[in-house]
Amino acid sequence: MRKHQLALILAITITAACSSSLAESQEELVGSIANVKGTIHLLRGQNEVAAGKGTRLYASDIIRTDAEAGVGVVLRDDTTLSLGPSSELKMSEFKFKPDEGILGMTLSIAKGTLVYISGQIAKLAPGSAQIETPAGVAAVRGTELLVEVPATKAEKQAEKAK
Amino acid sequence: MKCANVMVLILLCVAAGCAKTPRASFYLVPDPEGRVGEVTVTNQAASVTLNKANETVAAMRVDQAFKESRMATSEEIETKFGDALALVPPPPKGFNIYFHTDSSKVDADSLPMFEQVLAEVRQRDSHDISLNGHTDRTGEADWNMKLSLERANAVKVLLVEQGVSADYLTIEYYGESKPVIPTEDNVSEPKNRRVEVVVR
Repeated sequence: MRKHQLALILAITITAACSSSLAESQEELVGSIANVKGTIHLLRGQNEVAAGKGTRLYASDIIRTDAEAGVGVVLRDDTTLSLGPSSELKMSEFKFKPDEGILGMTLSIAKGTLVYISGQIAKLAPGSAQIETPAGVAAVRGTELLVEVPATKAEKQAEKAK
Repeated sequence: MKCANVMVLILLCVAAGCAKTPRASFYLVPDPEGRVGEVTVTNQAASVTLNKANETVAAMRVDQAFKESRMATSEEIETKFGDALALVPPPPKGFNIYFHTDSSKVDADSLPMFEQVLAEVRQRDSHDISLNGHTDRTGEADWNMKLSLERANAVKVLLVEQGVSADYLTIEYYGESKPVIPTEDNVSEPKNRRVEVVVR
């Protein structure tokens, strides 16, 4: 009896541990970096990972560009986008399973400039492609949108101090 | 009296944030094909829809109504977004490569298409290429699953032979589950015996 209980607890513990580590590594593939100018940074969870042309991007990734830098990205639903200098964008959410009717994306721009040319998600599910900013959310029903989030006073001072 | 009016105006203006930089600005512009879509911007205070070329709206704060939308000049757009616009990647391009029944050898008729794939990969120096394998419904579904993988692998081998890094290639395979032309079981359909190549 005790042996059984022990085995059961062990099995549950192992299963829980395995599934949680699986969940961590199974973020949705969002797209890839198509071109890079200057120095960019890719933040994944707590870590900065190497980023260059071809680097695959996953949900929750954050891209930052330096003062003279920029980056171009292609998403899995054929959305194309780019960031100008001193920008920060998070791939907050990305769901692209057209066969199952599961469609949606949220990109969050914290600062800088973003060019967004919509892909299939905005076409198949109008309004479900969203761009978040600190002052409002844009729901896109097709084609091209430009978004600017100017540096705040605090950010400008921090930039000068560098 | 007049002077007081002006003072009030100035005070109102400052309170409304006339002199301040907006927290965020949105510009709807024509896409590369010239189409203008529609965007609705919403925050805690209001909602505004942009639907004209170069229409722009600014938000001062998340809890404050938007300023009235206006038309931006192309100079303003170029000044603010020129750096970013120069880095927009070309849209992904898709190709279909076809196969004979029950075979993972690329159909000779599809070799010119393979050359086009190669040209596209080289032209944009692509580091992200998807190879998605498919079959028609001839034969067992289990076998077709394997066959669709073999087909994708066959295209991969050809690309690698031509000097494309295997690191840039992503293979997915679907057997007979995603036909271009839906058919009954055990129907031969050349258009479904394919590898879809997406060059990004």
